[in-house]
Amino acid sequence: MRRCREWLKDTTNLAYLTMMLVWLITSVTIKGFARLGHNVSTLQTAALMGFAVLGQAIVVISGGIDMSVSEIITLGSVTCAACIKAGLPLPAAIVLALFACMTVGAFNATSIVFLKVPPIIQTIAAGCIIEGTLLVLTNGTPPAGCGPVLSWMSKGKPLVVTNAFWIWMAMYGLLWWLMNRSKFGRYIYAIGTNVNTARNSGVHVTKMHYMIYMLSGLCAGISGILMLGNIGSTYLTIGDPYQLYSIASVVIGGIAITGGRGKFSGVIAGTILTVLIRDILNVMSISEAYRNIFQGLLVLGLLLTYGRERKAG
Amino acid sequence: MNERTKAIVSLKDRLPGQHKKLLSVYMTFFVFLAAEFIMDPLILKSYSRMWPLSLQFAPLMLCAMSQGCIMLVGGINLALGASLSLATTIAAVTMFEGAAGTAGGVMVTLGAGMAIGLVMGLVVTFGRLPDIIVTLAFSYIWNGTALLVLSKPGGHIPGAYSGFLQSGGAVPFAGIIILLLLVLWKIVKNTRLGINVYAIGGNARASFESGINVHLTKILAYMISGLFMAGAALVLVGQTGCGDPTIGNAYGTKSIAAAILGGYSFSGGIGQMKGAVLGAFIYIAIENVLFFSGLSSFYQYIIQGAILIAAIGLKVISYYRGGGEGA
Amino acid sequence: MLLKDVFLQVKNVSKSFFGNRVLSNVSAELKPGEFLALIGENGAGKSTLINLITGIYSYDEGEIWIDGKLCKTITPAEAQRLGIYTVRQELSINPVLTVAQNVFLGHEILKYGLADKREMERITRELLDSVHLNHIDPKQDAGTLTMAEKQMLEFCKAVYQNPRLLVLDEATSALDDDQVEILFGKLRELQKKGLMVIFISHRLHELYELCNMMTVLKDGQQIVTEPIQSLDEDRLISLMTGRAIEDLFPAKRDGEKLRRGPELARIENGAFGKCKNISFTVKKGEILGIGGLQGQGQQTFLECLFGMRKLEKGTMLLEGEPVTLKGPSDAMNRGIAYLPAERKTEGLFVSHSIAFNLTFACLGELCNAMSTIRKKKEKEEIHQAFTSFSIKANGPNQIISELSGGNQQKVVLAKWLARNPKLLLLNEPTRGIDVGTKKEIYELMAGLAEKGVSIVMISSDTMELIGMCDRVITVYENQINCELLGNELTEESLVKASVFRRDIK
Repeated sequence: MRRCREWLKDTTNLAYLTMMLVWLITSVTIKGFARLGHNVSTLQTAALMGFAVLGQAIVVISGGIDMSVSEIITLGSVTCAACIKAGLPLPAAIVLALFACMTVGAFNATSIVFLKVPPIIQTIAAGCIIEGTLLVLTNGTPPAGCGPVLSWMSKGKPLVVTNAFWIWMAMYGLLWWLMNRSKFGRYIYAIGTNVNTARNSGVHVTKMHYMIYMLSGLCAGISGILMLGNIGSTYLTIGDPYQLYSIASVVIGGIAITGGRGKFSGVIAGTILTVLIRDILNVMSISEAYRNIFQGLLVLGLLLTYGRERKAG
Repeated sequence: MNERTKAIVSLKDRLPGQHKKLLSVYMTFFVFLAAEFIMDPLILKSYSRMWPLSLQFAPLMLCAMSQGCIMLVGGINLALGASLSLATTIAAVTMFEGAAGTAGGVMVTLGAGMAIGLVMGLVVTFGRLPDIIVTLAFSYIWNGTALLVLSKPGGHIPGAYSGFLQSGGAVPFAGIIILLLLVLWKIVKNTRLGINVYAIGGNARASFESGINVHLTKILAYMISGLFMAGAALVLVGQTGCGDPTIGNAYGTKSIAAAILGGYSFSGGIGQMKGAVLGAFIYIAIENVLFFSGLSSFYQYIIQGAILIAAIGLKVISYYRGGGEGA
Repeated sequence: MLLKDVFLQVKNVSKSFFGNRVLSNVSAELKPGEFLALIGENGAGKSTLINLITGIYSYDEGEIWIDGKLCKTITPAEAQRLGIYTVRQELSINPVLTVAQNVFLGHEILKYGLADKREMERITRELLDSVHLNHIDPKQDAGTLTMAEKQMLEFCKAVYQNPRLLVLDEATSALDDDQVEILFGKLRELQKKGLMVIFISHRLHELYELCNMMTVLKDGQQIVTEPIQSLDEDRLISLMTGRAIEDLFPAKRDGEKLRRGPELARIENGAFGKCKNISFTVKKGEILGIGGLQGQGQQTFLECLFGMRKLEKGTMLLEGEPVTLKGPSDAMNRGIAYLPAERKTEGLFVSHSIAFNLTFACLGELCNAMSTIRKKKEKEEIHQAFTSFSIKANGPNQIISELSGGNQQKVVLAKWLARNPKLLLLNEPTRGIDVGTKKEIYELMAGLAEKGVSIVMISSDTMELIGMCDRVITVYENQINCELLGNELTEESLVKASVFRRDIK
């Protein structure tokens, strides 16, 4: 009994448990949710935004926050589409798009480290700049370009679920190793806990910030490219919903928004749970107004239950 | 050259403390004031040109003041844009023709502004959560609520109210309101509440040990912030003639940029209301200058981002060049 | 049953945190004019007792009577209304407010509901003058003051409230002797008017100088409460620790041999921070002390040696070769380790486990080629640290903030020693640590020096410098003032060298 309570105290476990419960309840009560097809599409949606969540989680653990993920997703998808339309081979298009996204990450890190701009402001500002630049360059209508290969990469399903999901899992595995098994993970947690101690203990805080924000850019970029593959075209607001979703998923997954605490493995549960909740709201076909209110309340409620700052002392 | 820097330095020393801190803001303000005159020389000739101008600046000035209140207590209000939208919709559905109807609507809107601040303040203090994430979540809640009140731009703003605000009378009213608020704030700043607001921004724990009710002060700061925000909404509806559930989106980030330009700091406890007003002026003047030179309106986003980063970055750079040590 | 003139009476009070009894059956009473010294090792319950009296915590058992009233639960505000004020070690000065606003924070003088600035500034001026701080302007921002000035201001702030009971919790830690004297003078003056003081300090001689009663706490138990004259220092130490004093410091080594030995590091005509023209050497296996008054720039010496601060001019030589340190990690790779003074904010990750902290500095060595941490090797490393440093904890996964200050410091030391440094920089290595752990740390340092590790240490504790160092350089106004070795190293000469500029040698 006591062990059980201990187990539940861990926010990550709680997130996985809630995810299972919500999935079970919706499968039983809502018509169509139990079908394999629906579950596959849930996982596909989770995977598409899941990359961005992985990056966001790393940034949050390091004590920052990345408000530019939504715009980076758009940037990745629009750049990729433009390159494909311009006739570049797919690998080159993907590499260029990811390069653009990582450049944004590097830009974020530069300002945060050298100009001491708080991460939240810097990433909001970067988001504005990307948004403006894309508007100026595309004149409001992004180029449509997406080959069958990219589509297959995103939504082809040779192995039960879509390829995007498997790529997501592979990426998660890689980043799980980074956060839990490598020294870099320790450094990221350390920076999120106490930058001064980290610096005094020989961590290259500057280099780590570049790594963290560029990773976040990379992850969001992959999200964008696979979203392009998923729907076959793109638009300039494709990333917009994911600013809150990515943060919500991280919080739901049990990672402390104040940095330094929480298990990285919570992100999977957090992402899937966010998608499930969104699906429920869709099924109930409530208006946009209520949906906004509900999402806000949900994030607040979760923060209040387990995201609190510990009382000092 | 040395002579001149010396003159500036000695001038700086002679200024009273709070003006000394705002010196760079003042200087920037005068540069852009001059720019405004150059772009639109008619302002100097015709007195009536001032009205539309003061209306253009007033909403952002009020938003920056609202943002400034939160930054003084060490937070950032990411819900400002959404709550501004909500307040305009509330104003548009509660205002009726006639003096009483208009005044009633104004009262309800101001009250709603304070209530919005109160709710967020309560969650931030008693939930022991960071301001940023709470206000981010609330931005969705207020957005939704605004859509509930008015699903699309509409409602009714009495013509007399708009007319009064835009050109009625002999003076630019929006400007007068801001001046009045500045005077009011000057008084509030010297009350216990005002000092406490600065104190908890500077060092919350120590303030608690000095017997200050930190939670109450923070909540009051949020409520004052809400009041300024509602003021901005009232000016906005006078301008547009309707309530709009999305109009506030443009003001969220801008208000932060304006407050920073006006000398506020993220660490809390630093900044002055007149700085916020000047910062908002500078912000819009920069936009005006750029659009005057013929840029497409798409550029406004880029400018927004660039100003945010530059305003903070320049401060840091000048700090290092001035021989500052440590972070 | 209650004496009329007793202001504070604590009767058999107990307090537990999470089932852990930190204070049991403690009693105390204070009459007007009494100064009570509260003494005990870290974790003995001194701060807890004070927090109960000042209303920060509530107590579980017993009774606290203040001014003839039974106070079952009180808040800090109520305690202040009863005339109890606290001056703490952690400074509570607000950097964004002016000096005057700080003094009056929460008690502003109001005129028509507005703060009466002029009157408040006038009173502040008087208060500042009374503690010889004539150079401070009441209108200046408090953020511009030095640590010591802030601490004095804190004291002024409390005195202005006309307290009946003043609690000084390590309130002299940032002050030098002159300032302590001024403060004590002021307190004695107020004593005649019936002021009571509860004084906690790690500097024993200050307790003897000021107080007339002493209560010794150990492990939450009250060992003794007696007039201070009847407790001499030796007995006091043995009461606190259950040990005698004489063997606190390890035996000194032959300084002459060291001096002829090889040199490890040298700075020539260095300029860093505010310090200019600094030259000194560190010999191999030597313990070099850096002394002087607080805030004379000693810390920048260590920061420079550790690469946290750029050497603006001059050269640094390490084992005879000129080096330019690019940052802490560069310094670490060259075998330098730095233990900062502020354990909680610069030395530890307080919300993480002991294990996380222990291996943090040597993660590079624990990793394989793929930067993956080898778990087995890490476990061995942790186990070894636990045994060789005798860290008292439930296990390596315990959160470090739950440990006592002494054990925390051991973890920081273990973290650095895992790298086998050649040069160990210690900034206040025993600040806020109980005597027992102090002794362990001293022995450890001596052992390291014996093995050839050079140590450079800063300490505000004069006895520690004399007891541990082979050689001490003192810093005065950002300059090296004087170098003391061997027999020259006495308390008197060290104090002199800290206070006067270059007039002895």
